Amino acid sequence: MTEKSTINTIHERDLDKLLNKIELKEDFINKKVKCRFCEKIVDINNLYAISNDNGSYIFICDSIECINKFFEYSDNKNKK
Amino acid sequence: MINIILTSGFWIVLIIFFVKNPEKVEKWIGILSRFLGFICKKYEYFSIKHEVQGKINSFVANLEENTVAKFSRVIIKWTASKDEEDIEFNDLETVILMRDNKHVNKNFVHAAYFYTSKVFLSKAKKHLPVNLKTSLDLFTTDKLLKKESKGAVDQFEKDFFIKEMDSSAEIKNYIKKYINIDRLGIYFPVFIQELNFLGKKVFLEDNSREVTEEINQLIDFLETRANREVGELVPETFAGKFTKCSIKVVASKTSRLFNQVDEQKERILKAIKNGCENIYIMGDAEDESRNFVDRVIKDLIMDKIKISIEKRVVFDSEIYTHDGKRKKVKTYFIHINNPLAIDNIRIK
Repeated sequence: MTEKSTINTIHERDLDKLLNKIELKEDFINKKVKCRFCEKIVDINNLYAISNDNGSYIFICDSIECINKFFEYSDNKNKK
Repeated sequence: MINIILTSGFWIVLIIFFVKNPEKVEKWIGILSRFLGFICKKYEYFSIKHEVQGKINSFVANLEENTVAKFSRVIIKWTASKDEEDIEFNDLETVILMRDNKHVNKNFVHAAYFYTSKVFLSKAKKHLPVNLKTSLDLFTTDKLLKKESKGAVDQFEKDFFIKEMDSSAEIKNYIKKYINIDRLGIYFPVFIQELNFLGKKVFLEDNSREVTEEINQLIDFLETRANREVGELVPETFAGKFTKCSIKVVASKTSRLFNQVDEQKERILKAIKNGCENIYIMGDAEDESRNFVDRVIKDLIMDKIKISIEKRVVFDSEIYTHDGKRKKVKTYFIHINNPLAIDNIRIK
């Protein structure tokens, strides 16, 4: 039996719905949301991913440094 | 009548192809349905999902043709794509953003890098330090893109690969070694396969430092093999604490000329007796060399030596000739597994 892993994705058109759900739509529109790792403002043009970290939400920009830092962070988190 | 036979023959061949290559079919359905996405936005979800999923899974299926390792396939799952959907966003869950079909390369780069970093070899990579892990993720993604999505290679190399290589001399050094190993064609069939075997081992004590040291030694061993000139003597067995494998060239000109089947069989037997879990036989893929290798293997089997032939494939390689020039060749590759040497539970 082949193992299958899920990659969760969201289309940019549906991002509002998710932001609404996590109550960050206004902050996102008003450019108050920052990348967790480089602190740059995250918007629709540079967003890579959003992660749920114990009920607080991490935004990751699409720079490779931040993506790798995020993978390292989540790997360490999974080890615990 | 002939027309009917030919037509039905065509359909049968097509159906067999579909059944045997579901990933390739899915990839092409995704690519071909892109234009529907331009007409109706609803189809964009369908085309992005199947193109990304199909390309990653097609790469994995292709990888499994040259290795015995089984790698996880992916499913792309849309979040919040339906109007009435109750959005679930569970703890530790990550959602990556996909853009419309104008950004098809960016979408694929982001999903492919997520796959190689978070899914591919995840067990083995648990033991590894960041730079070694990142170098593997970058090089593997680059290979994935070159195989499945050439149009996205530039974007990946510019935005991800070169930036990370420039940021760390250690990553750059690893990548240089992988390039050499890959030239011989053994990045996936030997190196990644050995890492996969390592990931299956259960360690009862934390020994990340020793595992890392051993992987570094394995990389050096494989690079030395890859940089070897034809006929040059370099170590052919890697004997680490956790990994023990051997790469042997058994069909040299001299062996074939003097019909040294027994001598070559003895060399393989020695590796088996010394506890090598995997023995990789490599040689020229031209008939004479291939037949000689097959005779050696056949003799081993007839002697009732407990081994299993896991893979028998031909792939493209680049080797160094006597004058140090590179030469493109076809390599005949056989992976022999020694079941008696497998020990998956390690105290240290």
